[in-house]
Amino acid sequence: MRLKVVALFAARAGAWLRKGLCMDAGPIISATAVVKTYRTREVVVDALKHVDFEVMPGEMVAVMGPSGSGKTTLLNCMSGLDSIDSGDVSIAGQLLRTMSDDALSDYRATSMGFVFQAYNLLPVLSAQENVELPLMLAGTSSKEAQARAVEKLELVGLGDRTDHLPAELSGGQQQRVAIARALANDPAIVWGDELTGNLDSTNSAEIMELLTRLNKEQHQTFVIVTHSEEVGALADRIVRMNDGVIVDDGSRGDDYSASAGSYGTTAGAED
Amino acid sequence: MEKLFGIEMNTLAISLTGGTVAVLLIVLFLGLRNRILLKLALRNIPRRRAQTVLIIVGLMLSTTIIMSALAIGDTVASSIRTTVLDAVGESDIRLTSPVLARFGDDYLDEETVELVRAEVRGDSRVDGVLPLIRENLPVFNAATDKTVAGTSVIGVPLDSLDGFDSLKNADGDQADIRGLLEGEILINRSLAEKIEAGIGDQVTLVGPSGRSEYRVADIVESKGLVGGNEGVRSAALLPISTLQRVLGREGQYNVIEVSIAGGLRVDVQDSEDVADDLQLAFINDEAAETLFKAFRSPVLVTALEAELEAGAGAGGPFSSNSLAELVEELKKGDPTDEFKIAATNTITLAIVAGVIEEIDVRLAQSLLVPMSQLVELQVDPRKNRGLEIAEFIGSFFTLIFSIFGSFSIIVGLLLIFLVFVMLAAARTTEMGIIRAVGTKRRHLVQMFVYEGIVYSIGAAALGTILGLGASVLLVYIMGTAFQQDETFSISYGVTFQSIIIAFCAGLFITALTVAVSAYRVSKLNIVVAIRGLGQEFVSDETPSAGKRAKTVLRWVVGPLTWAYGTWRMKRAGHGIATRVVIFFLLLLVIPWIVTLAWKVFRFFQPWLASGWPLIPIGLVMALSGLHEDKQVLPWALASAAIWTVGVTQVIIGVGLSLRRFLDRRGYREEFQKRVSMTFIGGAMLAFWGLPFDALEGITGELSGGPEMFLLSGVSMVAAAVWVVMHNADVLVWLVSIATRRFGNLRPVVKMAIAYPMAARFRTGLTLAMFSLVIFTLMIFAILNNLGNVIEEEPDLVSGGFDIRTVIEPELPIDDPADVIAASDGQLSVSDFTLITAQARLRVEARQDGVDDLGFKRARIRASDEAWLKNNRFELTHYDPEYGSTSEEIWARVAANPTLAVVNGNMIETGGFGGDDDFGGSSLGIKGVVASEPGEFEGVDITIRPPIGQGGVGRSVSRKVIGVLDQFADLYDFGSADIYMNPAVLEELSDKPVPFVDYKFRLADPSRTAEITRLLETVFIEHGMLAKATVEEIAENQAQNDAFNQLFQGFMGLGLLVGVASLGVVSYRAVVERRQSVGMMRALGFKGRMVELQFLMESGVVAVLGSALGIGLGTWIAWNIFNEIRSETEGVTFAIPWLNVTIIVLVAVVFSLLNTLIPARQASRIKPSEALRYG
Repeated sequence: MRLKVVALFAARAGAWLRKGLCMDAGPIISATAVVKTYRTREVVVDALKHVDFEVMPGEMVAVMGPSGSGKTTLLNCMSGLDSIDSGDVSIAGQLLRTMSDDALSDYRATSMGFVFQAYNLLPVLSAQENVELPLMLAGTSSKEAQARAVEKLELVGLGDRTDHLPAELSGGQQQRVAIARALANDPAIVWGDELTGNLDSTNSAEIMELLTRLNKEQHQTFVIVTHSEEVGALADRIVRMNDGVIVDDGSRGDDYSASAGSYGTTAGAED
Repeated sequence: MEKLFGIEMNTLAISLTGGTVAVLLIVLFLGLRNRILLKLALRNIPRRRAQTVLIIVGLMLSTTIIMSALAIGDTVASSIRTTVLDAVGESDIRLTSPVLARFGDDYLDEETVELVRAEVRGDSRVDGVLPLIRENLPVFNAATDKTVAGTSVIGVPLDSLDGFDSLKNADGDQADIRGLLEGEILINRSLAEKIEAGIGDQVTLVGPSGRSEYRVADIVESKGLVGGNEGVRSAALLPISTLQRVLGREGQYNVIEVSIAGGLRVDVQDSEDVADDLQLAFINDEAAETLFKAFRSPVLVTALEAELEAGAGAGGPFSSNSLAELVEELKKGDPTDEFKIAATNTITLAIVAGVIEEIDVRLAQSLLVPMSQLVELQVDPRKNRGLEIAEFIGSFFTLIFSIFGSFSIIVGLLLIFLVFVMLAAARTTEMGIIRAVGTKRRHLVQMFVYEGIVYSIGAAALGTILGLGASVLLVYIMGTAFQQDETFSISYGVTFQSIIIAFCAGLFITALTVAVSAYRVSKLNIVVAIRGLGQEFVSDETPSAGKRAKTVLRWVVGPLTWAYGTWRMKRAGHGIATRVVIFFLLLLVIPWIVTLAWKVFRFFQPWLASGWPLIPIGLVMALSGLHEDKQVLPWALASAAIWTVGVTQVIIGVGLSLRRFLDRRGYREEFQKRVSMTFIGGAMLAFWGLPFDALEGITGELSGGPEMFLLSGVSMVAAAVWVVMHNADVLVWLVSIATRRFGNLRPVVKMAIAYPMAARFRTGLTLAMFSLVIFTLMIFAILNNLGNVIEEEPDLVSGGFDIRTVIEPELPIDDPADVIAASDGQLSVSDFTLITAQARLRVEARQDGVDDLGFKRARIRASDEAWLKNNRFELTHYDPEYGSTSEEIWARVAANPTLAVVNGNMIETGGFGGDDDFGGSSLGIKGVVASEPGEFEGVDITIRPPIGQGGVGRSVSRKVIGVLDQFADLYDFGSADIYMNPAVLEELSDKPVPFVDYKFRLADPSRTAEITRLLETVFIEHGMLAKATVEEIAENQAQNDAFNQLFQGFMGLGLLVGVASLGVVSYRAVVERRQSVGMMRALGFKGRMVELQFLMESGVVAVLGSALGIGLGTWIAWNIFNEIRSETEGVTFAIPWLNVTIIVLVAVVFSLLNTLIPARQASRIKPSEALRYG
């Protein structure tokens, strides 16, 4: 019972946040001096070195950079999937480090959606069941969950594939299901990690078009880690990383010198 | 043990070792030929240590169970062996008078002893001949007032002790028997403890002529000469002259012991040869000649052969029978030594006498004299016989444990299979890539076999060690059953052969299962494997008939090609190479035969799989299994196993044909499968679940052994799992309805069901394993509960008597009331409401008017009127002409000396499995069936003294008008007891036969313990041994309980396998599903929700498995119960809920505990890490 109340509250809070934050125009995601270091037995890797980062509500941000630059780590740390060693991350004004693992889980269930390169659909569930799962977690009734799952699948153009298992779908179709799943609870923020990495150019373009449309229509915030300049070009802003630091956060009017990174201020930074 | 399943242990051990070495050599040979595969296969073992350990644990359990079963059999055999050796000591052969004391004088004179001495003089195999007297007499210690009534008192000539003098005293020194003086006595430790006598104390011996006192010269171990008798371990030894005087038997002996050289060492062959030589020396040749001439008439030989055909030659170590040898020897011209030896067997002779009587009564009469004169001295190779019995019981135990253990072994093998299927699943991608770069399917099989063999060796070794450990524990439990029993104690013992057999058999079946699993997992589709898709994408393509035929042909001619190659090599002069090739050729013959058989099966498989051919094959098999009376085919095997397997094949055939039909009609595959598999499962359940005799009208009476228990258990569990797994969605639907109200649980439940249902094969296998384990435990729990009827109704067993006593026949009682009256007030006649007396008389008897002509062993319980009229034993069958209640029948027997009642195990059981060995060497009453209690028509029987016991020509007829309940007199009855009026004693015996069994009913039953003790004291002059019936029941019940615990403990090993299987499945699931768990966590699943999901997955299997096991177990137990009830009155069916709850709780809780660790691991998976390597 307690869980349900929290979940409902969180779901509402998500909706309020979206609307409220749009009006207030303060950052929905804010990271200050974030440090993340991976240690194996012999190697120490500084994945994030005092990173500061902000995303405004309804913004679509692309995080780009070479392999090993810390893009995925940034996404994991911002979204609460991974812990940070120092610094602060807050989402909608709430400090992640003050939240328990359970509260973070609830928060992810109600206010965040994830799309990954490998789709990561649960292989034993059908497309519709995959989309229903976050709805169930948020405490939505079965009937409503079914209806909304079908609705989301129709939104991504898979209304006729609801009963298919992931293995019976193509890569592009699987990624659409993953997107439908990420959007199921109408989250405030959708995180995408190389979400077109496994797709051909046609499928990539379709997926990105879908995302930009959703971003415009539903005012959801998108943070997308990508290698692809084409994908980056569709974002409101491109943040460039190299060696664990943000070398260009792509803000208009920002006086940050672009000279540090080899990427510099390249095309696509403008919307 | 020396034999297992009728095969010599040595042979078994050697052939298994040979087989194992051969298999290992073949594998090594193949591995060395293609080292890269070997390297690839073996690299996983050291690299993943935790996994290696887990696999070895999973693989070792079958070996553990085999080892335990063998060790328990060994222990039982060695315990009995020790007991036998302790009891007989240095005496290998015992010679006694052929006449039983009841029928005449059984004492031997000095002359006979001299004849025996002369016979073995100069025989190096014999190192001692000891004539002695052995009688059971009361011995008491006046100082402590303690008595042992039936002490075995032995008198030995002090100058003839060569070969028998190894007795040790308390200090471990050799006791000085030769130095025993007149008036001195040696007592054994058992007697010393019981009467609390020490060295130098005076003890009193009560003989027929009065009491005499002796000084205890030394206390010796309770072994050999002073090893005691069957019932009492206490013994005392005196100089022969003293005992002869006490008994009034100057110059006489009643036993001659012969010791075979080698002390306690057993030389079976020498012992047997000397026994035969002695027996031949003491056979009346004239009588043998007469009998040989009479027996060899063609009519008689034909009749005897017919008897043999009817199974009269059968016998175990308890009733050996030499009819077959006798008939064989009759075909020779003269009476051979073999004929004479065969004719000395009393059971054989009784059968022959019965047959002759049927053919020619006058001839039979005339032969009774030579028959009774044939044996001049009875020669008993007692040490050999005792060891044979030890061997028999030991093998029997192993057999029983193997049969019940086979369930657990099957579950263990399924676990091995499961482990390998999962191992393969984890390596699917890797295997796909290996295949993609060009390795063949058989290379994959080889790789798995190499790896599997290494695991198997480790598992067999570890399993053997653990099995030894488990057996130590189980033997300890068994030992508690015999704590009270002074004549038998359990001591742990295991033979080297058993260890070798367990190791090799374990290794062998593990390796075989590994090979089968490897074959299965090698059937992968490369693309599907590399992409990590599900098994449902693997289409099992069937090669065309032509292609299959070609494969068979290739395997048929393969060895020929090889042989040709070898021959060419030889011609080319490659001597050594040829030998090596031939060596491997020999090794490969068996695998070749197996592979060829497999290929031939594969050739037919597509047709068999289509279902319809199974119908005619099954029909032929089922009809072959019918009884001769119902014969349809030209042959009839009357086998329950063949019949049931045949019918099962028909059911499967129909089910598969149904699927084909639905396929043709265009139904969805899922629907086809569900309908056909549900049909197969349901029909199999219905068929196997039928009461055992339900189809007897169709099949006739079929024979079936313990294999039926295994077959029915495995079939029912498989059928039930089949039905459940093909209707799992119904279950899922029910669960989702049930959990709809618990909103937060929904996603957890959804996942907890989705995963097991997606891996149906794995889930089905685990479910089957778990069900099978619970199923067997359940049957045991229920069947153990059945015996409790004895505790509930002790009168059934005791007949309403509080105390049961037996006295020494040499010290008879004239009137027990007089003895009590003269007891100085210790006891008074008014303490008793009833005192009854019975005599025992060994006889031979035959049922009149049946095919079985032979006289068989029986025992008369001649009972006085008080016993007959007042006992409360229940009758199950009665002749309505004489009465319709137990009381009426007993009253008629009391009044009419021509009537009799027989005990419950003398009638036909009419049960499942038939009555193959009905009666055996003891009398059985045909035409009266235990499962049909109530009225029957009285049966006439003829009774006569045993052949050779005097009383030639005497015989009496009796009409059996009642049958006792099975439980009646349970702790006192022999295998064929006939209760009747004491008038019979005078009719059959030359000598007066004394009453020896006295039973008492007390005025105040609460004084039972006190009066039991007092009776022994008051009747000491008669050597009375008294036992309270309630105590006896409790002791026996305790022994039963301990055995049941032993069995449950053993079956519990199976539970270990079931629990381990769930652990393995969970552990693998966590490894396999890391990414999914990461994604679930990203979606918002909390750590404990993930944990709960994993626990639920195991829980679902454990609970469902338990439910199936309980249901099916109760079902089969109910059928078994009905079978028992039809034979035994008063058995009640009750499910021991407490016991069942404990079993299920243990199973479920341990499964969950076993899952807890992997579940915890899963809950701690960090989403960011799990998702990193997409």
